[in-house]
Amino acid sequence: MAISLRDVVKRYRTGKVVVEALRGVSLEIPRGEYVSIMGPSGSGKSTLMNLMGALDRPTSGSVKIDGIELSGLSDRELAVVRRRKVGFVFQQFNLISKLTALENVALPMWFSGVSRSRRMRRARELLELVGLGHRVHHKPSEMSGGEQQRVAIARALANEPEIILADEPTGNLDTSSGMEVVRLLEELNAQGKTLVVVTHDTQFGRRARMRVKMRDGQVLEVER
Amino acid sequence: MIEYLRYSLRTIAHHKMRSFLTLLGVIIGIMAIVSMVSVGSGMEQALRKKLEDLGSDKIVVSPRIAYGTSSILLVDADAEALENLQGVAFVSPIYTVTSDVEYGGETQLLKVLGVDPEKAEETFGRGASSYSLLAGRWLGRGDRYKVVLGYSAAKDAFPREVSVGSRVRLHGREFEVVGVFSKTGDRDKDYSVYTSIDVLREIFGAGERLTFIIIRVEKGSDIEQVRQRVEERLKRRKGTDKGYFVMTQQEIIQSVGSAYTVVKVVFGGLAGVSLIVGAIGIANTMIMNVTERRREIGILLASGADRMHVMRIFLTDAALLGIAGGAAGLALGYGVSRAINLAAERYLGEGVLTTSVTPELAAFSLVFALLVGVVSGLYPAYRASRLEPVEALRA
Repeated sequence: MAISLRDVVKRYRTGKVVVEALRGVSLEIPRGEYVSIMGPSGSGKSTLMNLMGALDRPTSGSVKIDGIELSGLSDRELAVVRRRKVGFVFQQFNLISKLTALENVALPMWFSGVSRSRRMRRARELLELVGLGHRVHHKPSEMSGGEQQRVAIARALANEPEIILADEPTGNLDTSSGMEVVRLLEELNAQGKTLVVVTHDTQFGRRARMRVKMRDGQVLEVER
Repeated sequence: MIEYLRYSLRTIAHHKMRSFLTLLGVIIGIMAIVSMVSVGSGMEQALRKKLEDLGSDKIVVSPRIAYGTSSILLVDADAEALENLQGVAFVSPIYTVTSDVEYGGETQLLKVLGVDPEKAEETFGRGASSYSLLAGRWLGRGDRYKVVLGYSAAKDAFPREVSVGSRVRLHGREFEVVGVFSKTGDRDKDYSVYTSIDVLREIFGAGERLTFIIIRVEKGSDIEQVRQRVEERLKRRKGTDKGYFVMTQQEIIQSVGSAYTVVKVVFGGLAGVSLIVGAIGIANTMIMNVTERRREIGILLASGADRMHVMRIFLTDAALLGIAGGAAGLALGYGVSRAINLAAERYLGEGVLTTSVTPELAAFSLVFALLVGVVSGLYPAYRASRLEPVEALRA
């Protein structure tokens, strides 16, 4: 299994109110699967995504990524899991504005200790792969939304993770650049990456082989 | 390490104005330290040089000029009593006054040193960078109404240059100029007039009074032992060891050095206060920085950074800011120091005050600025590293 969750509960506190974002979620995502997670806002999609990417810890229950049980790992070990196993794509692109496209893509490799020359070479290859070989030295502010999201995808691939987690990747894009991003992600899935997409867009969501519907912090149904 | 520097340079370049404002406190602080301490060490060096000119084999006996202790009177007999001490080669009593000196219808107040004419050359003409003659001759045995002029006293003090063979009026009496000294660069010396001690005391009714005594130690004698003998002899004669001091040149330099250490510490302390304010400024901006860069921190964490990476990134920023502020402050401080030099030269005369930015001072200010940066960045960097990834990304 790429990702497996068992009885996952996530509560957090905002001020005095305790919010129960996930109330007992169990889910198995096999390697190479193409999964969409859909549901109304507040249904716990993003919380689920954060847990699957080792960005957060569950209040209770078990999260395994590529067979590694996350409970009991230190912050540092969690960082290592994120670094090696997961690539994130966000709705807001989340590029670092002071860095060029090339440097943004190379960033995750800095933390995994790849030498500068190898880092830069691979970052360039990845940018060419997403069709941005000509925009290598541009800053995010000099690129369109679609281009920025493709840089983000290249960055997600930097450390060759097993899993790509995309949180509303087309949410801030027009239809045509959105489609381009979808095609790119699906291509990666076709090459063997496990792809998990959180989306509001039912048309996009329906394309996944495994469709998870969520409501009120619980999995409503899983379609295959 | 180099990667962190690269990343920090990007951050600083991205926020040029903010970085500059953050640094202003450190820049001003370091500038103040560098310029103030450079004045202190300049004064010290000037005085040291002056004292070194005395010669390293010399002992000076001088009444103590201090509040609360009455200084004793030195007279000829005191000087004579020192002559036969073991290890003493030579004793030269000196009497000094500030007197009106007239030449070509113009009157100036100049420092006049009275010395035994026979001993003049031996007293002032030997030792490192002491006097040499530009024209004429030294005072000699039997010279009475003769003077030798310092370089500036001859060239600059009067509208017309005074040359050898001219006559000047000193406190109403006519003196013949028999010699002019070369420039020493020491304003005090260059504006002085040298004449016979006996004549000078006669004119000013000073009787047998002395201003100080210069003693030269015999070659091969231990200067400290001779100093003690001089002290003992004087104590016996005067019945006290208060009210005067007997110092070797080395001791004088040491005591002057420690006096200027105080000056430097006080100056440096004042400047240090402004640096602390600067440090608080850095810390404040860095904390705001952390809040403002939460999203960036989230991205770094999502890209696989751990807490140590984040901590190091923010610490490098602070260190780099500190050292940049230090470098800018050092450059400005050096500029201020040069400006003080030029102003001093213009308005006080050459060699009175020469500020100096020593390599030690430069190194110290850079290291200190770096330290200020790191210390003030410590807490903000810690805060940055404690952010939870999800929380940071939500910003």
